Amino acid sequence: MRKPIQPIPGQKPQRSSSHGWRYWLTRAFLSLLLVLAAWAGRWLWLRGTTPEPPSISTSGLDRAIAALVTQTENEIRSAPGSGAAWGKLGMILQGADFKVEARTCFSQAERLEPKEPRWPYFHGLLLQDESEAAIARLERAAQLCGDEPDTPRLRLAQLLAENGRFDQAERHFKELLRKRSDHAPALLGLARLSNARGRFEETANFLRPALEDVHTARSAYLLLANVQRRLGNETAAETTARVAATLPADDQWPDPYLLQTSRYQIGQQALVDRGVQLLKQGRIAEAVPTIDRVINEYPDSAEGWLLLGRLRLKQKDCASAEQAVRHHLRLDPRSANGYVQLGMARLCQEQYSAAAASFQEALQLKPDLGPAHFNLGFAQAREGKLTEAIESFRQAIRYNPDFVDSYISLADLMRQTGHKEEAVAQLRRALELNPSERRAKLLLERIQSR
Amino acid sequence: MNRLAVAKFSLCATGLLCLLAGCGKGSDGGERRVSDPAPGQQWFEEITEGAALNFVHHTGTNYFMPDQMGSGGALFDYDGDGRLDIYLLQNSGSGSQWINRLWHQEADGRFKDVSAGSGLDVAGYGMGVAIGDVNNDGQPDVLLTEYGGVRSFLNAGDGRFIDITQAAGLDNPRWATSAAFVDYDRDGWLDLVVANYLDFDLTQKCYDSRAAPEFCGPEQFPGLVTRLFHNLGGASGTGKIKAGAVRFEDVTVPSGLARAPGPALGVVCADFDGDTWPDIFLADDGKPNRLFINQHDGTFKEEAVMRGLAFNAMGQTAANMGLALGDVDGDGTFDIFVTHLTKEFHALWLQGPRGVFQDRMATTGLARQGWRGTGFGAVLIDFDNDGDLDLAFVNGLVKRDNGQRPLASGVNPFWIAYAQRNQLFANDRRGNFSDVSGENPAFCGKAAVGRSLICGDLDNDGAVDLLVTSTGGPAQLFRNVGPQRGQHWLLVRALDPGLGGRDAYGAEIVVQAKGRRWWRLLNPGYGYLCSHDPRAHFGLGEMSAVDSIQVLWPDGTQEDFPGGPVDRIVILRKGAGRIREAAPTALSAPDRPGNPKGAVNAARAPSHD
Repeated sequence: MRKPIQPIPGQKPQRSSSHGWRYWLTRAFLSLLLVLAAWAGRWLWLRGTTPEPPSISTSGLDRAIAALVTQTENEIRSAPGSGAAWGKLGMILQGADFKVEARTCFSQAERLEPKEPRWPYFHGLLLQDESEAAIARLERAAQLCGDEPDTPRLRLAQLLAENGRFDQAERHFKELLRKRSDHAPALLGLARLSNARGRFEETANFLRPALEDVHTARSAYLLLANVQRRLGNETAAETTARVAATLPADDQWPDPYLLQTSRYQIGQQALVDRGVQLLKQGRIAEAVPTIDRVINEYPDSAEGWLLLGRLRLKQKDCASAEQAVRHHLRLDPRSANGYVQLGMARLCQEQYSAAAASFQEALQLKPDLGPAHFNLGFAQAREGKLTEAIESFRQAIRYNPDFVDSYISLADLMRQTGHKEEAVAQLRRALELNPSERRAKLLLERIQSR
Repeated sequence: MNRLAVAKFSLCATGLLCLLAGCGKGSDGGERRVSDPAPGQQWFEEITEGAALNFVHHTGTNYFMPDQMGSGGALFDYDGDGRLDIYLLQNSGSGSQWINRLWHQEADGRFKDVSAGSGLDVAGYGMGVAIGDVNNDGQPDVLLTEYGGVRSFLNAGDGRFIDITQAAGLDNPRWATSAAFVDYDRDGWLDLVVANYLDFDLTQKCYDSRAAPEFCGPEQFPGLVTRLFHNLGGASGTGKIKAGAVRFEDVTVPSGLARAPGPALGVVCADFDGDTWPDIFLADDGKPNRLFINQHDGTFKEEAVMRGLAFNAMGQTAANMGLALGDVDGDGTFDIFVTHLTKEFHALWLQGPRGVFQDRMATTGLARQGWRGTGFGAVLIDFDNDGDLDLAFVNGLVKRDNGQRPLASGVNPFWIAYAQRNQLFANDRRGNFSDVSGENPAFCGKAAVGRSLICGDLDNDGAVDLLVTSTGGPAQLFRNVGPQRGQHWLLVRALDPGLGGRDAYGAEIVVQAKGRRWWRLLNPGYGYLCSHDPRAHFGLGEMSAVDSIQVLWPDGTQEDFPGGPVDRIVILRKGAGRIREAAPTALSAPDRPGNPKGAVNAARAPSHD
C-alpha cells in the first residue's frame, strides 16, 4: 500500500490533478454553451412565436414615413422581443392612417410589455368601432398607469358614458376628481351623466366650475343652455347660448401619451395640415418654420407653395406671395383656389386689371366660386368698370347670399351710379343678415340723409 | 417551457379560439355574419326582379365627390290611381346617356318604365327628390335637386311633367341635397326648403395615406346656405293656378336662414316647439345641426343648441347624414334619429319636455350593436304592426376599406370597397331597440353602397315596404312580410279640399284606441335625398277598432273624425270632421313648461280663398 504523500512544511498543498485548469476550463466552456443555448432557445422561441411586422408596401408612401417605417421594421427584426419597437411602429402607422396594421403592432407590444400602459391605451383609441374591446384596453391602461397621466381613465369614462354604462363612467369620473377636485373634463362628464339621468339641477352644479376652464368652457356653456331651456328658463338659455357662440373651441386636455405620437406625424401632409391650422388660427410666427419645411423638404408640393403664398399675403409681402402662388400654379395649373390667391396677391399690389384676369381664370375653373366673383367685382370697381363690377357683386350674392360684404359693395356701386332705391334695398338685406353691421348702417344713413 | 410544448399549447389555444369565434371574422374589424332567419321572423323579401324594377345607378368613378353622395328617389302616386309609383335618379352629369326614370305601378304590382316622354327623363348630377303640389291642383309635382341646382316639374296629368324651373324663379346654383315642401307661412301654398351642402372645389384633389386618389371629405370645404323659397301662389287668389303662374320668391335672407350656413344633407319640417307652426331641422355633415324655429312672421330663429339638437350626448358633432322622425317611446311627442359614420354612434334624440331634445342613443339599445356601419337613409316605421316604431337604415362607406363581405349583385366593381350591409332594429314598445338584422338576410344580408331608404305601402296591404337606392348599384325593392296575424293597421291620407284636394303636408294625425295614442306627421319630405309615401301608417297591434282620429291641420285648426274598423285606408278631408275649439298647443303636446308663443297663437285661416 502506498504511503499518502505528506505535505512539506511551508509549502502550499498541491491540488489534485482532477481539479486542475482543464477541469475549470471545461466547466467554463460548458457553462458558456448552456448560456448560448438558452439565449438561442429564447431567440428561436420569440422568433417562432412573434410574427413578422405587418407588411406595409412603402410605394406611394411619403418618403419620410416610408423611411421611418422601414427603419422601425428593421429594429423589430433585430429585436423581435422588444415591445418598445413594436409600439413605436404602431405609433408611426397610426399617424399614417394604417389603423389595422397599427392595431397589430400594439397587440404585440402589449404582449411583450404587459406592464406598459401606453400600448393598451393607443390600441383602445384605435378600436373606435368595437366598444367592448376598446373599453377593456382602456381599463387595462388606466390600471397600469395609476392615473399618471389621467387621460386613459378619462377616455375610459367617456367611452363608458357613450355606451350607456353610466354607473361605471361615474365611478371613473369621481376617481379623477378624488385626485384632483377641479378636474374640468371629469366635472363635464358628470354633468353629462346627470343630464342623461334627468337630474338637471345637479347638471348645472357640475357645470359651474367647468365654465371657467379653457378645456371645457364652450362645451359647458352649450350644455348649460340646454339645461336652462329644459328647466323652463328661456331667457337665461338664450343668453348662455349667445355666450357659447362667442367662445373658441375648447382646448385639448393635455395628453402626454398622445403627445409622444405627434412626433411620428411626419411627412408632407402632416406639415401642410399643421401649416393650414396655424394660419387659420393667426399664429403666423409659428406657421413660418412649418411652411418653410414643406417647401424645403417637398419642393414639388403644390399645396406647400399655395400655403407659402397665403402666408406671404398675411405678412403683406405681396410680391413674394405672387411668386409663391405662380409656383403653385405651375405645379397645379387647374387650381381654382390658386388663381384666387394670385388675384389677391395682384390686388395687394394694386394691379387691378391683372387681378381681375386671375379671378376670371378661377371662375373658368369653378363658376360658382363666390369669393372669386366678389374680388372680381372689387378689382373691376377699382378699374372704374362699374357695370361689370355690379354684375360681379350680383353673382357673388347669388352664390353666397350669406356674405354681407357683397351687399354693401353692391349698394355702394348702386349709390354711385344713381340707383338709390336699390342701394337701400341691398343695405337692408345686409342688415337682415347682420343687424349690427356698422358699415351698412353708416352707408344707409348717408344715402338716406341726401 | 420547450418549444414543442409551446407549439402544442398554441395549436390547442388557436383551435379553441376558432371554435368560440366561429372563425367568421372578416378583416374589416369584426363584422358579424348575418345568419339565416328563424322561421316566421323575417320582415322583408326582395321583390326587385319580380316587380320588374330594373334600375342601375350610374355615376362617375374618378373621385368627384358628388358621385358618392347620391342619389335618391321618390315613392308617389303621380297619376292618382291609388298605387305608388317610383322615380329614381342618375348621377352621371347632363348629356349622359343615363337618365332619371319614372316607373308606373301597374295593377298587378309590377312596374313599367314610363320615363320616355314624361319630362322627368332628364340627365344630370341627380341628388334628391321632393314631391309636393305647388299649384294646388291635386296632382303631385316634382322637385329635383342636383349638384349645381334644382329643377321643378309641374305635373300636367296624363304622365307628363313640364319643367317650370326658370319660369317659377327657382334659382339655386349650388350643390343641393335634400329638399322638402312645407307651408311655413300657412297661406295654403307649399313653400320649398332646399338643403345645400358644400362649396365643393372640384379642382382640389384628395388622396389617402398611400397617395392613392380618394374622395374628399366635408371638412375641407365650407358649408352653404340652405334656401327657402316662398310660393307666391296664384294672383287670382283661387285655390288652383295654371302652370305658367307658379312663382317662387327666394326669401332665404329675409327669413333668417342665411345667417347660419352649414353642410346640410338631411331636412325635415315639423312643429318642433309645439306652437303648431312648422319649423325646419337640418342635419349637418360634421357640424352642429341646425333648427330654425318659425317666428310666425316669415322669419326663423336658429335654436338647435338650446333645444339639444345641435350635438350628441357627448357634446360632439358627428357626421349627420340621414334622418328619421317618429314617436319611438310612445309619449306623444316625436323623436329624431340621425345616422353617422362607422366610428361614431348614431344619435337618437328623444323629445321631452315638448320642444327640448336629448340624445339617448346610449340607453336605447342602439349603442349595443355588434357592428356599426356608415349610415345614410333611415326610417322609423312600425314594420310588424305591433304598435311601436321600428328602425331601418342603409349603410355605405365614404372612404374605402378592404374588408370582405357578401355583396349585393350588380354593384359596380369600383364601389365594392365602399359597400356595407343594411340594418334593422325592433322596438320593444318602450323605445328600446334590439338588432334584428341577423333575422333579415333579405334586407340586411348583402352589402351595397346604400344611400336613400324610401318607405311606402306599395301594395296597400298595411305593411310598409322599402325601396333602397345605392351608389353604383341596382335599386332594390323589399316587400314587407313581417306583420303577424292579429296585428292591425290603418293607412291615413289627409286632404284639404280647399287647396285643390292636395295632401295636407304638415298635418299631425293622432289615432286613439282603448286609451292608447299614436302620433304621425304627414310630410313625406324627410330622410336622405328622398320622398316617401305621403300617407301616414299606423301599426295598431291587437286593436281591432279605433276610437277616434284627430287631425291638427297645417293652418292650426283641429278636427276629430270618428274611429271605426281597422285594416283599411282612411281618407280624411278637412272640414268633414268635428272642429275642436281652437287650441293653443299642438295635439301631441303633453304637460309642458309655459310657452308664450304657443299660448298667444290661435289658429289662423289660410290667406288664400
